[in-house]
Amino acid sequence: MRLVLLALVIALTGCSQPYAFHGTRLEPPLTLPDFELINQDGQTVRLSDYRGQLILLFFGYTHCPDVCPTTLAQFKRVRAQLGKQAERVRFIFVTLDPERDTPAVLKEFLATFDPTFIGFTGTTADLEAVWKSYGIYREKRVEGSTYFVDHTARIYVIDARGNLRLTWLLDANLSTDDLVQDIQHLMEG
Amino acid sequence: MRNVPILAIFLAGVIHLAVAPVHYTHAPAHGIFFALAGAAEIFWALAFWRRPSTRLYYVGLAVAGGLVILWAVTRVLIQPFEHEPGPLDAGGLVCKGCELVGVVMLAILALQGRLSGVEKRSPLRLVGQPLAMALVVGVGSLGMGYGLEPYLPTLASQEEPMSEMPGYDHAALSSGATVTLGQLQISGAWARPAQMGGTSAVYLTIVNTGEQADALVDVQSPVAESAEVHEMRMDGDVMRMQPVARVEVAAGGRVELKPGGYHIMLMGLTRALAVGERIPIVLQFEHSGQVAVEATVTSP
Ligand SMILES: [Cu+2]
Repeated sequence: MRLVLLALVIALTGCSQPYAFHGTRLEPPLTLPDFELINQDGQTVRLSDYRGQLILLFFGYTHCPDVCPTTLAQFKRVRAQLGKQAERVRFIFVTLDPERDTPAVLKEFLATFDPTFIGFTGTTADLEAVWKSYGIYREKRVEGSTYFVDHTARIYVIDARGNLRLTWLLDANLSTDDLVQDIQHLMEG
Repeated sequence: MRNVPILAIFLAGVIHLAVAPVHYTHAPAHGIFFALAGAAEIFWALAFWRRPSTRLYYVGLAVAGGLVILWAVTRVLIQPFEHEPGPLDAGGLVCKGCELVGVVMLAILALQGRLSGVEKRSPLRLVGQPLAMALVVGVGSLGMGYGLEPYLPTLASQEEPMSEMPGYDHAALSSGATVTLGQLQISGAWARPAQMGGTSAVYLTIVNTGEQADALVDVQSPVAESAEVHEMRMDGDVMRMQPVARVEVAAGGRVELKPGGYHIMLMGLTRALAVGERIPIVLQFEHSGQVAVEATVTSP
């Protein structure tokens, strides 16, 4: 009897394929330094304030015409698909343009997507340290009377223990379903 | 109790003053009018609060009531110094709500004889007379606006009216149908909501039904200081954006301006773009010439 059970367990575990993430997995998870910035309400916050929840971190700027609004619209759909599980996920937008993205500007921008989204801004020096630790490339390009920022287009997933577990590259093939599946798998694991 | 209508009209004055600068940028005459109206309401509220009188009662009802009437009429008729009726925006509704509350409460309190300093008179004199005065103020200021407009062109809206743009086809636009320019068909134009002074992107689809290739070579919009066609391109991990001089539309071909690809970039917005609004975009093609289309502001 014991042998039969053992065989069954081996057969079951052997059959089930390991889950294949749509994003790039960090194994072992990476521990990045905690940081302190200002949220869209002008309050000082630390990333570790959200410990215990899954964090989706995205770096962008409010004058961003295409990728940033597209990504935030996708976050909104992810939140809807997650349903009740979304209560354990935080969506954080870190600015790459502290010159223009004051807390008030961030607040108005994020509110057009979802009032639960969190915005981080701060001094250029504080932000530079954060960009650097996440390996964000950022290039300011002046055009006429305004400027744009070319930037790394990745989403970073930080688990409940505060470790970087997964990143997604924002290309046209990344669907909302992909994000939701990966998030659900991380929350179960 | 007496202070509630005074506060409501004071608040309406503050709203008028607050939005005056924004209105000044789209039509200076509106900015000036809003500043004057706001100042008048604030001044009235302070005066009536300190020393209410029968005369001030009539002035308050005439001014606040007149502004409500002016607002209501210009939601239907073309506004002076503008090309179209005004929008039913939240700010306007709140402001008019304040004025209406103020006017109605003042009248009721006066009828009950509970407004100290205001003589108790017949309902006709306490309600009918201010109503007539408000009508005179509302309609009179509208007439004055229309009358002054030809003499003060620098105070008028500098936004080019849609109907004067080349290739404007009102029937096609208002039915939401595809706009046709020779062998080209343009459809599905939408723009992202944005704040004044900010940037927005416009997306649309161009179909070439003819046998000759064409190209989009220039774009313009009266709501932006400048407009350009841009392309988004992934360069490793980095999303880059660059201007493109022309977008080729092959014979029998189709080009989609969509997120992650091409877009029309609107830079230095002269006003905020709110969801549901429609904004004009002028497209210049190499062979087919110019056409104006309307993009609906949509939150994706
Ligand atoms: Cu662009």
